[in-house]
Amino acid sequence: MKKRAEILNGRTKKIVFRTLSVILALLIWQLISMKVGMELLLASPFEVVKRLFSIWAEPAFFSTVFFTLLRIMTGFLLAFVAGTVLGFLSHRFKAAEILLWPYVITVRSVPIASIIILCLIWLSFDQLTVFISFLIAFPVIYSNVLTGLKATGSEMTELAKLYKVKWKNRLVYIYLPQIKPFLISACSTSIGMAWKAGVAAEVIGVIKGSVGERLYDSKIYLMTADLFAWTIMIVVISVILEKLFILLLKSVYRGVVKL
Amino acid sequence: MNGIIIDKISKSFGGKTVFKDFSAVIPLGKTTVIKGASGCGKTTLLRMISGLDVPDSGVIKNVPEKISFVFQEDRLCEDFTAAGNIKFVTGKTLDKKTVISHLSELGLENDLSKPVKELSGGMKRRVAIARAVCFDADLIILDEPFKGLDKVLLRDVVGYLKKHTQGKTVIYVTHSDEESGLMGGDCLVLSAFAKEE
Repeated sequence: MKKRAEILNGRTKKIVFRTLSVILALLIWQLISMKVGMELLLASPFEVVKRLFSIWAEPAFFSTVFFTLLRIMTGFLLAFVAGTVLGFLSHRFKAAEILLWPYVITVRSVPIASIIILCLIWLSFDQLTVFISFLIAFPVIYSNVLTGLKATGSEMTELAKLYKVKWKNRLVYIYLPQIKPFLISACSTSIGMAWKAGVAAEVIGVIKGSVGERLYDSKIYLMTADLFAWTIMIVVISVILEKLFILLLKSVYRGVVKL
Repeated sequence: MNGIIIDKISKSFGGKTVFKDFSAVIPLGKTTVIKGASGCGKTTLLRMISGLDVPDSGVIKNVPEKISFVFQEDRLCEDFTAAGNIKFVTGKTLDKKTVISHLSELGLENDLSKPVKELSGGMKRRVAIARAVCFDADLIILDEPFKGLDKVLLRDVVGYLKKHTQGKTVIYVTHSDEESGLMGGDCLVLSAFAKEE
């Protein structure tokens, strides 16, 4: 009981300190904005909050968000499927891991802006966000799945071999539970990354009807309140989607365990 | 001869020779207890019989094809229930009612809905034993299967094993005279075969 109270106390303290640090950051922002004295260059937090509430009422708001969301999540889901399947394939066949290695390393080390510009030459604007989101999320998911599979204890694989367990049962009972923490961590990281890279691609490509285009416009017309408001919106949507996807993944796992 | 034939096997790990030209016959359809001091090669012998390890020289012949094994470690799928762990090896060959009846015989009827990770050490041990029995193998290998079981449970589990392994080949490793006395069967003492180089 005492331990629980201590934990709660620790959590409350953490929340209080974090809230205080956010308030302090907002205060500093407000002071700098007042010092600059030009809303065009640096909007105040108050202006940004005002804009955040008015942005919803705009007729194109939902279609803009949906446009970007659909493409980024399509890219992420493709990366999720490809990363998981190829992770398993690379675990099973060393040759697949070796063959995929150059692509994974290249995508990880080449600046994303270079890839976006190259893709602007090769791909249609419509495909760009999907492809970039896929490209940024794939190595994270692939590597995590592969690392998880490599960490599978030899004891369980030996047991499965001895009992001549079918491949499907090995997958459900050994490998899927084994990669669960790795997959959750990969999804948690890569959804955020897919949003960052996807929106960056839309900004560089000035893709019509996208969130990226709205960010680009706010830069062109020096609407910093818009820039901040859209940025906050992107972060919020990205975090919500991340939480929802993790919840979905966990419920799928619960379903698998009940099989 | 009607038995598992171990013919002049040798096995070394690093500089240590565990077996050198070791031969024995383990009768089929009976229980054989293997005893011996720690490190004399009991587990190595079980692993070679089951095909998990290969002897450096010599052969082991006439081993039944369908083998189940209770390892020294429980080796359970921790997120799954006891019944799930049995289904893992049996697939759809065994119906749910039979699985539950096996687990109930081992006193696990009140913990059927719990994932194995929430069970005690003794309970996990019984799940591992039930899994080996439910697999319906021709050869059942038990490597110190009663670790972590108290005396009352030990008698129950031995009773369960004897009931369900009648007419099957059981090879069983223990240090304990009490356990081997309860289980019965022919005794093979290994300490004499372990050799240092």
